[in-house]
Amino acid sequence: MAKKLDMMNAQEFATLVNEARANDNQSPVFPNPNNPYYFPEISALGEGVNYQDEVFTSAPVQNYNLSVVGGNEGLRYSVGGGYFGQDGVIKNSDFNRASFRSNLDIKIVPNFTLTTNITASHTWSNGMPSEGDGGGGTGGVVHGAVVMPPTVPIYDADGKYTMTNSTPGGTPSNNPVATVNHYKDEQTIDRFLGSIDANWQITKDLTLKVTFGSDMSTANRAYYWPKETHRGNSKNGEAYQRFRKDASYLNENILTYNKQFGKHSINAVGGYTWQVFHYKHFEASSTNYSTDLYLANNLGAGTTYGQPGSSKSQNQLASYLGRINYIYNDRYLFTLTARADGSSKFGVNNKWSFFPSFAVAWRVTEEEFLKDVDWLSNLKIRTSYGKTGNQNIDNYKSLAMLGTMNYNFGGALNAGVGPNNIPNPDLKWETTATTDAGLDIGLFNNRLSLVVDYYYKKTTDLLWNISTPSSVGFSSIFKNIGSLENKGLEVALGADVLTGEFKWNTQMNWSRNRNKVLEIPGYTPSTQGTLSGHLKVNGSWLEPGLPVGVWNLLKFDGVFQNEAQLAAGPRSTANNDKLGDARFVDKNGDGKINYTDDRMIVGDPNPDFIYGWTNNFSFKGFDFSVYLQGSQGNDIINIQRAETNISGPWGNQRREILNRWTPSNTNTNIPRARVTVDPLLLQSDWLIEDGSYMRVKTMTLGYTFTKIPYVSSLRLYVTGQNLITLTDYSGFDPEVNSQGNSNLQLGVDYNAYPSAKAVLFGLNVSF
Amino acid sequence: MKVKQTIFALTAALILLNGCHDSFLSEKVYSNITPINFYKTESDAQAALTSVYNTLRHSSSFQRQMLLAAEYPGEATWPNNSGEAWRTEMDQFTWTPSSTGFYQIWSQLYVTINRANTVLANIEGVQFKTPGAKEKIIGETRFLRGLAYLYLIRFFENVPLKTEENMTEIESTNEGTSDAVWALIFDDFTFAKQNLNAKNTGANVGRATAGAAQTMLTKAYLSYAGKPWNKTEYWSKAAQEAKAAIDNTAYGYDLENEYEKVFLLSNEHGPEYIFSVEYESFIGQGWDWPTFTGIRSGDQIKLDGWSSLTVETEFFNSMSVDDKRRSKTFVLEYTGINNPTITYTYPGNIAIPHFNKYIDRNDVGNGTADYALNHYVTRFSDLLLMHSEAENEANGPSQNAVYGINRVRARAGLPALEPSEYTKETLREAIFQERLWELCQEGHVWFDMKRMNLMTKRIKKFQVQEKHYVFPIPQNELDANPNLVQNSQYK
Repeated sequence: MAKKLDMMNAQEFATLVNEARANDNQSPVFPNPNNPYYFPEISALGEGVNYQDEVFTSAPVQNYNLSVVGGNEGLRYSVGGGYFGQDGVIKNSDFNRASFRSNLDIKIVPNFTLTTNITASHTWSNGMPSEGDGGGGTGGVVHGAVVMPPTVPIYDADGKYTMTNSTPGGTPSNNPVATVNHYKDEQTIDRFLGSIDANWQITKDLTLKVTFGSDMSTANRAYYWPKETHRGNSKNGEAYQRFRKDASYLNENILTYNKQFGKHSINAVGGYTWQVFHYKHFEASSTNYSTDLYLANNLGAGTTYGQPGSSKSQNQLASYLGRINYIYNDRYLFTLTARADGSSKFGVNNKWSFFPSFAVAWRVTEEEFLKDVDWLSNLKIRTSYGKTGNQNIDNYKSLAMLGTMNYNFGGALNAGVGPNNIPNPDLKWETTATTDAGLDIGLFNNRLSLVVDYYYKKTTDLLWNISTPSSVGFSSIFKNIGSLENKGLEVALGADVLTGEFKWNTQMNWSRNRNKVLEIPGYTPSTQGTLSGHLKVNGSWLEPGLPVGVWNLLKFDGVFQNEAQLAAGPRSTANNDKLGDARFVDKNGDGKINYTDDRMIVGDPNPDFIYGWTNNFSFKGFDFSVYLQGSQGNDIINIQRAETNISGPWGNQRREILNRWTPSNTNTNIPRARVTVDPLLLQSDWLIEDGSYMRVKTMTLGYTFTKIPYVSSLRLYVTGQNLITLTDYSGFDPEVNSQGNSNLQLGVDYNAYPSAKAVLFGLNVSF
Repeated sequence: MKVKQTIFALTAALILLNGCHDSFLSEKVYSNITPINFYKTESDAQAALTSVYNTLRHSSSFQRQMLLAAEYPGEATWPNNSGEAWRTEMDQFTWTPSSTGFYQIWSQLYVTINRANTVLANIEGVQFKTPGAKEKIIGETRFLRGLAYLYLIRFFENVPLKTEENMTEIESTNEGTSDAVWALIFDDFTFAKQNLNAKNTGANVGRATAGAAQTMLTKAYLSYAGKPWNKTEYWSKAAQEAKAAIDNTAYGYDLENEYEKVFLLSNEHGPEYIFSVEYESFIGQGWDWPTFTGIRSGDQIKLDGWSSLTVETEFFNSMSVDDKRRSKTFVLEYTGINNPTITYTYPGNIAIPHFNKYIDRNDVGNGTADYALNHYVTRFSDLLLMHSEAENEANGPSQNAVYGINRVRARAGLPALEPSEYTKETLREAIFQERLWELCQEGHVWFDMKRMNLMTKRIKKFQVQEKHYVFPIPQNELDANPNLVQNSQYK
């Protein structure tokens, strides 16, 4: 486990609860003579339960690989397999994968080769609910481990698991220890990825390659909530099974022409490809079991059946492509590419779109005037312009779809069918036009190399849901609208510092990207989405002229420390501010705080720059490498902090809250204890932190044995992952994005599965 | 030459492949249906109608937000510091156009209207086999549309008019639409009244009836006669409709003898039932209102409550101890469900007063959001009280005017009102108070205060202004639609 949060103990928490209740004119919670087991005298409480310790554990990793490589003129082969296993940072969770690979290159006749590449893997894992919203007492273990008050004992007076947090005014969080010890969630995936290529050398210069490939996987998830858990208890056991099958089939037909005559060198490629994606799924659930023994394996044994579900969908892609590379005298390079891509996802008139590009480069070091400059081994100047398309959206977005909308009459379910969306037959490809200019420099026989690139990308016809007036019956329509720019600089520096018996190679890369929304016709800037339902935390702010993902919230300005400050304001219009309550910056200067009028851009999840640095050392048979990576200037919106730091009896709080405002501790910026959260605090930059970090991502030490009989090489290694992280971020891990699937919500930490410090032992054997 | 022939052959093959392109890229849809192959048969039309009913049980509609908007501003309920800022804003009259709940309510009501319009737009193409089925479906659809518009116009006053005729219009205006919207409401309810069954049985229980349409028509006339439209000629129209519905034996409306019986899970469609939002457990049709109003950590219901809509102490004290409705309206005493040795009482070891109407210990579903107890959109006592109100406003205090209110009071064990002791204004207030005791927690009070012009008079705890008699057009809507105009009180 990389890091645990510093939370309060039982005495500190109980003191906070009583203080919050007293501040808001309510009776104390501790002690409760009617319920002394759960609410004893504060002095009788000790440290209490440390739920993080109960739920998190160390996570050993194993990785083994075996391969056989060889062959002759007619047949070359590479066959291998491996096993990877990792225990989860949350108890009773793990991940295992066994995989097999077989690549064969068969020369049937001198100008006809058949190649097969086959990979098969079987993955099996045990999961634990972690991510997401803490509302409604969901089973999320990360949420529970942090928020469950230390005053709540794991077991009740009868020795059975405490079901939920019974602290008045508290989060109805489920007991995470019960979940971790008894919840079962098995997932298996079988995957086959294979292709067969036929390579026909028609003439000396002309080759045809035809490929058929397929990627098929079958996955199953089976989970069961037994009666020891709160969710299982309330439903008398809940079993769920889900099967899904994904399959894609690909065919590529590429013709390649290579010709060299005099100083001219031509390489031309033309081809046609198509690909089909199939998806099918089935799920069912049952509750009300008389016994937990079946786990999820016998849905029929439950006495109440849940609604089953299934679906089937498909999408297709087709492309024509062509490219010409022309090199004159080994120094002037020209490339021209044209693609026409078609996708089934778009409207009837817009399935196809055209994407051209061209690139020019000059190998300056091939010129006569540089031939004698020995120290400059490589200098290449290049520039390019091209268009690419994006069709990474759900299927069927252009069609009018009808959905299931049931109701009940006479106590029975009646099927309902109604419109699910506004159709958009004009839906088309999203296009990005990229301009790039770059420089490659190599010094001292390429012992030192530098690559610099500057790029400018403009994306137009952005595909997303834009708000419509609700009088249409829908609040959004999916269409192509708006444009976005990304521009930046990438620098990579590499050096073979030492090349003798002791080798040292270093590689550094640094990049800086700036994105900005350019324009969205007909759109009034507004927040996009919601990050937490029950806490009412809004999503990012989308506005032309600003980057994607910024947050437009109130700016926190300390607390009202004394009467003079409270009188001076500015006070919020909705709340009844008291001493010790939060104060915010009054942006429009009207003396009152109101979310809509006083918010401002307070954070940007996009980093100022990111970087990485690898150092590889080798000496005799030993190899040692260190990989460091980091990000600077990115902000994170820490929703988990909102769940744990709202200064009241809602759940356990971080120890920084010991420094909260009280009449005897007025010189502080931490708000006072209160029974319910100040809602404006959740709409302010109180939640936003600097997520800059530098991390030693991997460190590997290995030794290769070469003189073992029958074996061409054997390498033993030990790798440390995430050993050191330097960051000011207070959450579990600054490398986080709980809303990874969303383009608009970046840098969100909402109970993300904590990253692990791991030590991995491994073995590579080649025959 | 061999190369040329090869290239020719390959090119020919590619051109041939091109031919099957367009069909290659057409969408293949399997587990969804599209309008192209739907809206053909009678059961398609029934399913389309069901999708309109489905909108009622959405949390932005009757399932929660609309009930909260209608209840929190009143003097009987408050949100007990529960999560959402909007709830406190409603309770304390500090709301703004950006307050979150208004946008949710507005957009969900338009979902109802859009689905209803979809049914009406497509029903002409359907082949009906059962005689009368088409009129019934149209009748129920128009009832639901009328219901949605009635709530919209009473909440927001200036709303866009969307019917099956202008469904493709995107940026509809809300200026000057008021008369046309009211005309549509009256028209829709009248059609429904003339075409629906007087009573539904068996598998059709829960569908709108002619009685429900007539009751909502009464409510529509009553609202149009009250503030701010003040079309006073509609008072007597409302009284007439109400009387006709009360006297209609085919509807069979009557009051339950015991107030408790009205809210029993086993008696959801008794003689007092007119129209409810239907909920059922175990089939994905439940709701969480009992959890919402149940006592947090109170051992009152098995899956615990959230105490998010609770009783104002002054209101609790306002009900007479002899009022027979008291024990079912408020939680007075119960034994713990997990720990029966403990008895909870209010006043006593329960900290604040709670509502008891939607708490039925036989109501157990598949979790905290799967309760089956239905929600009365209107019931017979509402109709009786509306009749009294309409009569009083049209003709002043009289035996006719106190008929309805006295029937309700008799059931509650309270003495009858004597018309000679009242003026129109004092009787109006007495009717308002009776509505509060009879119908609290059921989503009526904001409309009552608005219609009867009693908001500033009744609410003393907070700063009530004229603008609070109407909700603002949600800011999100103004941002998305340049043809919408904010209500003048909020400019």
